[in-house]
Amino acid sequence: MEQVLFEQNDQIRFFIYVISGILGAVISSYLLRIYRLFSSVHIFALLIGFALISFGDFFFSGTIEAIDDEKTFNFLHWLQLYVVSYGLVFIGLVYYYQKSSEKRFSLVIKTALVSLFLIGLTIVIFGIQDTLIFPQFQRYNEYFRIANMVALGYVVFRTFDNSDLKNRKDLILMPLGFGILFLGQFERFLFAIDPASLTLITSGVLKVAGLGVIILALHRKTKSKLAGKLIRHEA
Amino acid sequence: MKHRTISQPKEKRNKLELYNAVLDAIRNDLIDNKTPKPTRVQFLVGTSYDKLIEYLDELEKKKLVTLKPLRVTEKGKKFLQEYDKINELITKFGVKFLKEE
Repeated sequence: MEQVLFEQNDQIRFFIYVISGILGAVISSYLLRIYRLFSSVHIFALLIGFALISFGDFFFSGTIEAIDDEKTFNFLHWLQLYVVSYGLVFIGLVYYYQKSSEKRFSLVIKTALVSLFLIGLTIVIFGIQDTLIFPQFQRYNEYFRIANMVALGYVVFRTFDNSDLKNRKDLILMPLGFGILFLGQFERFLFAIDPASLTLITSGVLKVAGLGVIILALHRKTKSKLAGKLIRHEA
Repeated sequence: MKHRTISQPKEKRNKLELYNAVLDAIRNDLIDNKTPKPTRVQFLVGTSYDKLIEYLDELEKKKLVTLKPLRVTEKGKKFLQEYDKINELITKFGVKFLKEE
């Protein structure tokens, strides 16, 4: 059933994946610029998180054609689920270890990177070997979506907990962006248990909207900064 | 010789602000003196000597300063120029890792 719906919505899915990949790349490049100035492990983990989300979508947009080959389709779906979920886990870890020292968090991130590599390698080996039986991704899809929702839910909770929110209402955009991403994953979870075109498309649109709001939050200038610029200009 | 205190010692600052204050102090002390000394930087920043040494180690690991001689690197100068952007990013993401001393 899922495969039929995927095939029916081929073009719109391709469009959504490309846009979502581009938005993820914009956030990653912004984080990379800041990381080059200030090499903090927490910024690095955010960068890896958004880069994985972006890579997962870009990669998948280029392989939508593979829908006719069931085996390849299944293998690519496994890769996408794994890459995007890992991206969200990296972002979740930043907030979970937000008060930890750089040294401690660096160990956590190194461990996460090693496991990312090992699991990725296992999936690729399973995928390219004809003799090994690769389970259908549909059987595990909802568990990945639940894990994604847990990670995003935690991030939303933590970003709402921002003490600066009391004085700066514009900071609400960040939890809002993550909140929309959460809803996107929820829609995708609904699709996993009861496939329908509407939930599939809505989940993609919500993902694009969530990433868009995060970009807006990052590029929005604060009122005090704007006022400062105006004063300098007048002077 | 005119000394400038970068910020008030009693004011509670987060780690990012302290990094900024230390780098600013080294740069300013270099203008007044040919060789900036940790004790003078300590006075300008308004922190304890032990804490200053800890911050200097951290800044060296991040390649923002060199310790022998005590200098702000090119990366450190860029950090000072773009400090507002870095601070804003961390504030927007609401990550507390550098928001506490």
